[in-house]
Amino acid sequence: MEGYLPAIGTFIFGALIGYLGQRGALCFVGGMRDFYLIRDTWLIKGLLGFLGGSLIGFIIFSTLGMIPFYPWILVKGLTAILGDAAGSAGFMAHFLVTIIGGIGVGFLAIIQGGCPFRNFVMAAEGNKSAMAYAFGLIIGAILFHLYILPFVQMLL
Amino acid sequence: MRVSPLQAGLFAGLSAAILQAIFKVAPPPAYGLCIACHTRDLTNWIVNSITGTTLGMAPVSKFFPVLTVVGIFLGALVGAMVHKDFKLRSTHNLGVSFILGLLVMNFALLMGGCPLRMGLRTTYGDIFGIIGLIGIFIGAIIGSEVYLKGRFCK
Repeated sequence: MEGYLPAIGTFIFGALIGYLGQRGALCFVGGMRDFYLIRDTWLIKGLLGFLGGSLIGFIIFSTLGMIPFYPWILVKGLTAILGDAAGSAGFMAHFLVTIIGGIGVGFLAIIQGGCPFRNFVMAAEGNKSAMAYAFGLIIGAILFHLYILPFVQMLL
Repeated sequence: MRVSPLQAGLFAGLSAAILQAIFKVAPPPAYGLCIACHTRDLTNWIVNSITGTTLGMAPVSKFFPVLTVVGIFLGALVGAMVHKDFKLRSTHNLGVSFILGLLVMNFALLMGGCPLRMGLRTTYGDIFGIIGLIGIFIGAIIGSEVYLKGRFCK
């Protein structure tokens, strides 16, 4: 049962967030686009709300002692949280993959019309382009781990 | 029921912290919500189980993968069905969308998360989270100028 706990939790909260995201049209890159193009703050409040909500949650649970290494920058300094392609390389390597990845994600998300979260929601609304996009995400994950990740780690 | 993006974002942020603290979606830290990484975990877990390969994934998903994307899809499907938003349509060429998804996944995994996880990493206190968000904002500005306005390619 212990091993299934993350799967159960993410499924339940994923369903709730999916429902709210569908109702509220939550989209981070869309919010940035609206703010930049027409100075409309309706959607970007979703991003600010997300930052605020997670900050409140992290502070509450870290005072209860349930989250280790918080805040990260005071405990671990300028090392990145695990998960990006640079692995154990230095500051500049993490900076490079983060900024290149960020610009790529932002640019391509504008062309598609939403960040990955919004596209999953649009796929559920019956948008066939978003379904093709979600399928592309799945194939992209396999390709990344087969070819791109060894290549990037060879470069760094 | 009317939900504003602000309320949806607040709930999503809180639930990301709850997922990490109570449902133990860690290590790595700040992993409670992420579309790109959780899709990767689910896909690679299934591929590894079927073909016996050892594609990489987060430690939390080694035993059984996280199901965020399945939940989000089903929740949004319920929302669309109940409120009569469901309609089959297409906004882009399907092949172009497939290629875009493939590229976005590669850039996102290079960065270490989709926009949601970069927000989580920012509030968790990781300097690279805010760098990633700034990168996404720069990319969105470039995309708006080049693609939406057509300023540089008339």
